[in-house]
Amino acid sequence: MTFIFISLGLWYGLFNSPPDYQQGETVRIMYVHVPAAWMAMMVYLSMTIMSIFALVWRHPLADILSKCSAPIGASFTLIALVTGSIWGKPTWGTWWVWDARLTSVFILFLIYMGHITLVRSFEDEYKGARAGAILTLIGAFNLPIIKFSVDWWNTLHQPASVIKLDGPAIHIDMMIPLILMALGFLFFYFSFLLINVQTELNNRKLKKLFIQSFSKKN
Amino acid sequence: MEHHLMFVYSAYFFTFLVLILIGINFFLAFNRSNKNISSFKNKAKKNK
Repeated sequence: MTFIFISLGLWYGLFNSPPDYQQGETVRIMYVHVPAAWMAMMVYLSMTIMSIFALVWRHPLADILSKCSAPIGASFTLIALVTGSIWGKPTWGTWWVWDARLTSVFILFLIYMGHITLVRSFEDEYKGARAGAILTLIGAFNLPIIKFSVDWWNTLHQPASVIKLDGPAIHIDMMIPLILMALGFLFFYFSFLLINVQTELNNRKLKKLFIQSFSKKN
Repeated sequence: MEHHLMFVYSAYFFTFLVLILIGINFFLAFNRSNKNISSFKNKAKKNK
């Protein structure tokens, strides 16, 4: 599904959608930049929900899901930052500005990296997961700041044009590749999340087997 | 316009480079964990 949606999105985005009347061909960067930014926020939102489950109900799978989501979310955030920077050069005339939207997304990337490091820095998995969950909940305050930063402050970044109360403001020919790529990225996330969860479960099982065999010997 | 296409292609190249690299990384980690478990079980059987 990932391959199908991304292939269709690529074909539509690169060859079948019209160039923008102001930005020309550079508008095609939108088909990777915007879905990556959506995914960066969606993955973090799912991590926040998992952290609540982990802290309130102590569900062990919630910890694993949150831990396994973080590297994928960080990758999507990196893609959004770098492609946004590449898009900014021909459009704004600069690679980077410290405006509200760009800075808040950069902070999101730092929170992801902090979570990845923090969870793995504890010898005790439970303590690491707990610290990671608290960090995720604190960092969740950044999500509304990212979303509404373009409305609250004057930024170089354009305001929302797809997820709006009064409906999307972009043409259907640009909307189709955007949705296709977003679906492709979503399936990518789910596929690799499952693989990561299986890897984590295997590693924990191996640790348990090792401890069992060691205690039998002694 | 061709100059602008360079920006488009570099953005797409970077995106898929990151996705492919993390994809390969996750697959390798998954295969390694499977191998570790099966080799541990084989060793445990031999020791019995």
